[in-house]
Formats: sequence, structure tokens, C-alpha cells
Amino acid sequence: MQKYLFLYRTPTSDSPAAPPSPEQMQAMMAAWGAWKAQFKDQVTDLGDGLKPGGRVLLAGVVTDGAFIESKEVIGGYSIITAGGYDEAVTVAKACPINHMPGARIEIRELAGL
Amino acid sequence: MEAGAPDDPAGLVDHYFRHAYARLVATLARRFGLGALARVEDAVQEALLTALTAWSLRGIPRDPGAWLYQVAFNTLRDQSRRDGAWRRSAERLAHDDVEAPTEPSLRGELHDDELRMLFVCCDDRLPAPSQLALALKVLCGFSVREVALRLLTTEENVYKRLTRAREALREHDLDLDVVPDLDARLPAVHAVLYLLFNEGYCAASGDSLVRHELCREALRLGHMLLTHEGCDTPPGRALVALFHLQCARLSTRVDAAGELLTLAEQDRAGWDREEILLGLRWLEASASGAVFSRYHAEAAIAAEHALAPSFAETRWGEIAALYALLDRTAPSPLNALNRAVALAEAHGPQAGLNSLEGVRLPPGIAGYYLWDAVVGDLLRRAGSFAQARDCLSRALAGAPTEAERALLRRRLTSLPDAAPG
Repeated sequence: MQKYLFLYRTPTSDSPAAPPSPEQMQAMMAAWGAWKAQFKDQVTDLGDGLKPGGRVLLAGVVTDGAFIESKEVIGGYSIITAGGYDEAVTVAKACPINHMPGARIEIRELAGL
Repeated sequence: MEAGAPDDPAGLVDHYFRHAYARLVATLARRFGLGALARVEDAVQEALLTALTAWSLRGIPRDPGAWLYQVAFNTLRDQSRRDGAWRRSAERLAHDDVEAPTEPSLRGELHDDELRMLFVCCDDRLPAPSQLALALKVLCGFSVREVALRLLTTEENVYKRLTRAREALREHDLDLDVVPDLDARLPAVHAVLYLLFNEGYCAASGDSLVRHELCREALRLGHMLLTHEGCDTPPGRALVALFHLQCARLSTRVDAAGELLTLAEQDRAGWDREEILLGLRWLEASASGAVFSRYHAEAAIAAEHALAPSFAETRWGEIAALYALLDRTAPSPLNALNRAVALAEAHGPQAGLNSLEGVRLPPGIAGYYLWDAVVGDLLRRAGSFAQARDCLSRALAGAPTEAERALLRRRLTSLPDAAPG
């Protein structure tokens, strides 16, 4: 079994994608509960959400909110255990974040040396 | 709000996100200035999106309102630091302890900022069509698409109305910190809430459930008004009484096929007794003071209907008298029309038609389909079938919604074919 990092990339408010309505958001939160229950064997670490903003260091120079111009940010991450990318993709496909317009999941296998 | 257990994100109360949006926008717009309203709305939207992912993964924080506030506040503060043009905000923030917001919980009973925002949305320096659009957007938390759906217009049109509203906010430098002259401004606020309610109530379009939300929102904002001492006035109470009494009938106004039912056809057993009781209680509470507003008259009429055991047993004489009273506080030919309907029930269709003699519609609403619909129905009942057919056909041509057209078609087909004059 391998471990996979799920990076949830979500649109910023600058994004052209229409934000979900409050009703849709309410429904999505309920769907997350069902997803977690369905894949409880694969979801090793639910991870966390990430707040907007932050600091970026480039050659020792600190800037804040450097990604403010971008159309998406990393909104959160989880760690999934799966037998391979196919299984990881199956888990990702069922993730309710897919219903958020403009949201993406990036799947990366942990090196686990 | 009670937060759900960490594993139960669905435990959020209904419409949490919508109402959280309204509160956050109002609070932050007060802090950063109305000139930054669009930025504030974006920051709040972003905070809600952040919450969606974070709360889904980690559960709901103990104080969701404070969490959202902090996230949106930080975004705006970072923006204002970068953007020198934001002097005003920067000045304001310099006096505040930015790391520890003074509004930790937005669940508070005192919706002061929202209330101020309501007054701003009803400011007569904003173009009238923009007022309702802005209120729906920032106070009710509807997206542009949702506002368009509810006001039966295009998204482009809503966008234009909002742009004009924001321009007017900047042009007149409206400020949430300026406490409005409540007495002078309350009538405008009442008028907008009344309009908001009627948008949801009067035009039963295809998706009536969606539009009923407007009624619920008007009721919520009406109650919010009453929680503030200076805004708790007899007309405000009468308005809330009217909303409750009308809400009691909402679910019985269309049949299973979505067709509009007349008052006589509605299933009275389906009327919401609790709403009726609330309405009656607020109507009673509105009776203090010397002011008799149009809302008093309208709520009293709604109460008569709500209390009548059946259509036939309605006190139509009382209702006719109340419409005459309403016409004195808020003159409109439609009051005469409604009075005619009540008189027709009390004394026969001819009495109703007689009462309309000499009443003329002003040019602006001549041919208003409702007039033709009602007069046509009275003529039908009085046996003047040919005239009735003319009137009802005119009404059918002008009726704005399918439900209303269906009702008129039913009336037309019920007319005998060989119609005596």
C-alpha cells in the first residue's frame, strides 16, 4: 500500500467560476461526511483546510499574500492510503469537492523512502 | 447557533452560510467602509469557501462566526496594507486592535450592523430598482444568479442594478457609522420589506418554493427591525403581523399541479395555525399608539381572512370597510377593486360592480391585468357573459405568470358558449 497526498485546489474569489450558492455549500458539507464514512479505510489522515493569505520566502525575501493574483489556492490536504493511483483516483472521484466549480484535486504519491 | 458535532457538518442550521454571509458583510463593511463593499463581499465569499473545505475536513469550529470573521478580516487587512488608496480603512484600522477583533461572535442577538446595512439598502439616494437587488445580495446572501431568478429578470440586469447601487454608495459617500434618522427613514425601510415580501408572494412563478424564500427573508428582516428599540414601531409591528398572516397561507396557494388557487379554493385546514397566531399577536401589539398605517389595514384584512371558518362565512362587510380605510392611508384604485370583491361577496356581484362606477385607473396602470381579471369575474357572476369574456381575455393577454394565465383560462372556459349580453 502507498500513501497519497490529496491537495485540494480551490478557486479564489477572483476566479471566473461562479461560487456555489449557500445551499450548495450546505449540501456539500453533508456530502463530505458521507465520503469520509465510505472511504474510512483509505483516509489515513483527513488533513486540514488552509486559510487564505500566508507568507512566501524567495531568496530570503518575505512577501505576504504572494498568490493573491492567482485564480486558485491550495484550500486543504488529506493523506490517503491506496494500492495505486487507480484506487487513489477512485477515492478522489467520489470526493464532494468535485462539485465546487473550479475546484481540483492534485494527487501525489508520498516518496516514503 | 449550535455547532454540530465535529463529524456532523450537516448539523449546521439551515441557511447558515446565507445568513453568515449577510452578517459578515455588514460587520466588515462597517469596519472597512461601504466604498469597499465589493472587496468585502469577495473576502467573505472567500472565507466561506475556505470554511467549506476546512470544516469539511476538520469539523466545525466552536464559534463558526468568529472563525469566518477572522479569516475575512485578515484578507481585507492584508489587502488594505498593500493598497495605499485604502487610506480610510487604514486610518480606521489604526485605532483598532487588529489582531483581536472586538466582534468575536457573530451569532449575537444584536444585529446592529445588519440593521444599519438595511437602512443603507433602503436609502433613497440609491435608484429604486437597485435597492431591492442590493438588499437581496448583501442582506439575504443571494448570488447574482439567485437574485435574477427571484426578481424574474436577467443576471445582466441584476449586475447593472448592483453596479449602480455601489456607484451611488460611493458618490454619496454613504457610511454605516452614521446612525440614520430612524423616524424619517423607517417608512422607506418598511416599503422595501413590503416590496420584498410581495415579490415572493404575489407573482407565483414556476418555482414558487424559491420565491417563498423572499417572504421568509422579509419576515426575518422585519423581526430584525423590531429587535432594535428605535425601530420597534406600530407600523413595523403591523408589517410583521401582515407577513405572518400571509405566510400562513403560502403553502395552500398552489395545487399539486402548481396552479394558483383562489382564496375560495384553498384548503383552510392547510393554513399554518402557528403563523396565524403569531400574526394576530403582532397585530394586537401594533395597536398601541396613534398611528394607523397601511400595514395596519392590510394586516387587519389578512386577519379577517385567516379567522374566517370558510370563504362563505368571511365577514365581507368588515373587509370592505377595511379596504375603504386602507384607501385613506394609501390611496390606490386597487383598493377600490378589492373593496368591490368584498362587496360582491357580501351583497352580490352587482353591488361590487356598482361600487366601481366612476373609479378610473390612472393612465400608468390602465389595462393592469388584475383589474380586468376581477371585473371580468364579477361580470361573469352577474351573468354578463359577453362583457366578461372581453375582460377576461384582456386580462389573459396581460397576465405576467403562467399560474395566473392558467387561472384565467379556467375562468374563460367556464363561461357558457352562447353568451347573452
